[in-house]
Amino acid sequence: MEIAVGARSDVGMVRGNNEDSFAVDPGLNLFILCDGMGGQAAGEVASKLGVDVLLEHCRQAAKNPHLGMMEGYQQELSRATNRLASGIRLANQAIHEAAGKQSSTAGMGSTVVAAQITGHVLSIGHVGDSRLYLFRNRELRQLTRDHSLVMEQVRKGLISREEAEQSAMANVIMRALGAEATVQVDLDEVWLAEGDWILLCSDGLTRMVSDTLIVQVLAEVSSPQQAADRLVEVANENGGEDNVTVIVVSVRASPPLSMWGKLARLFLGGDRVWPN
Amino acid sequence: MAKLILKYEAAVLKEIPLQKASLIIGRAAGNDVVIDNLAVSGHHAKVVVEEDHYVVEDMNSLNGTFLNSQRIRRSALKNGDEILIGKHTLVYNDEGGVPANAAAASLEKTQEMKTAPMGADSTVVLDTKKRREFLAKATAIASEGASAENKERIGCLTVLSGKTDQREYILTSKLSVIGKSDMASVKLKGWFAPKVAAVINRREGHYDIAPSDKAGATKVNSQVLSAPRELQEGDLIQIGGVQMQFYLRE
Repeated sequence: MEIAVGARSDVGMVRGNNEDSFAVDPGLNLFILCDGMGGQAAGEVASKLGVDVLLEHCRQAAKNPHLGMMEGYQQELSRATNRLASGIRLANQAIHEAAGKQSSTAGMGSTVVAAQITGHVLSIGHVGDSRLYLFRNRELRQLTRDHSLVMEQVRKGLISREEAEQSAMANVIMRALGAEATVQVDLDEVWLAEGDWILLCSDGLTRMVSDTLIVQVLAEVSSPQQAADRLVEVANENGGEDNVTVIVVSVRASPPLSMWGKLARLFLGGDRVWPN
Repeated sequence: MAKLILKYEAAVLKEIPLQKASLIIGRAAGNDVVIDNLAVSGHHAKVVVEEDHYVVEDMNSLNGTFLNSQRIRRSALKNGDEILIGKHTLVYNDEGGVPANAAAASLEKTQEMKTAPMGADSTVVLDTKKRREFLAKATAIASEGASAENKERIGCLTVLSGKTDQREYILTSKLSVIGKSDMASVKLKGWFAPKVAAVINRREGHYDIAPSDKAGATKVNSQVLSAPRELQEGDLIQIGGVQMQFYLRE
């Protein structure tokens, strides 16, 4: 699988500072996006801390496979997915501790959506209302479930999706990194196919740009970077009320190996990271 | 003396007195209690003495250890508790009291713990904040217990014909790959078997099967699998010369 990535973060048209943070590690095929919250600079601190701790945990794990995991290993998921969960739990702990230290950062928190590609498997971990979408055969599918009050109500059938989008409570989230000493992380795994695109985004995109419009943009661009740029532009054209961050990943078939490449793979064994 | 009573459904198979500080239960020979059933992992669970009581601990088994029908990782035992492993039940009985040498036995156990290699998932990253850890551990187990849906049915594949590495597969993982590939959990054999024929995705009690990049390799109920579909009980999956049937069980 050949993986291409594009990413862009923008302050938007209204806000004074950008509380979103993101990281892309092409070596690990790891993509992280955090949307911070909290007064003054606290949101920025929280999202940056979230990204940094998770990224560092995954990088260390890549060097040292015996690196400890945080509590809560789930047998039914692959090791890579559990690693992501472990990093997110660690990030939660770091933000929670940092928030308790100073009054200026008290109550800060962050969402997180993180994805990693191992072979054909996409591992997804998330907390909060930042989203991950899969774009396959011109169809956009949201693979994460927002931990927001209104989406919880939609799932229980109390309100409609339209009502949720209009709601004044749309910004209330049920779970966040840093809110409590421990956090429940939602995890998922998807088998990727050639031609799949993956979109990670903060709510600054999804509140300004409808799913239909996202599909249009993804269908007409030629590269992930172009997609990321274009999506941020569209969000800003539609008002840009919040910070906007998007990471776009495209998955293509690897170019056919030469005979020597095949031989080398035969002897070296390729990567056998998956399964659990 | 405390003892475990091994039962299969209503039938009592065996009584096992708890004489040692730790007793390991599993499918592999060499365990203190051997249960020969596919649903039981090689080393499935252990019962260890801790100060003045016994504790049951899951050893990262595939299908889990249940105490009074709650999935547990580690839990203290009291008289009458039922430990469910696969289809076998172990009833804990301590009417005779916990052994007097429990203290000595627990010492033996701590030494064992020190020398035992640290399991990757039992290790916690930050060891300076003990208190926090315990809190995290407690909530993790609590939420695990709450989320374990006992009623959720597990999908299985029975091999009817053809070359595979097992006759039956229990699909507990989120993703199960069928093929010759190293990462396949349902491993096909033979020269012409596709690397990845199909992928089964478990989602909230449902199982979806999706074709791989190699089109036409997989048939479900004699139809070529060209798009993902949900597996129904009794569906026949055919890949080359291999035929498997999907079914659900409690």
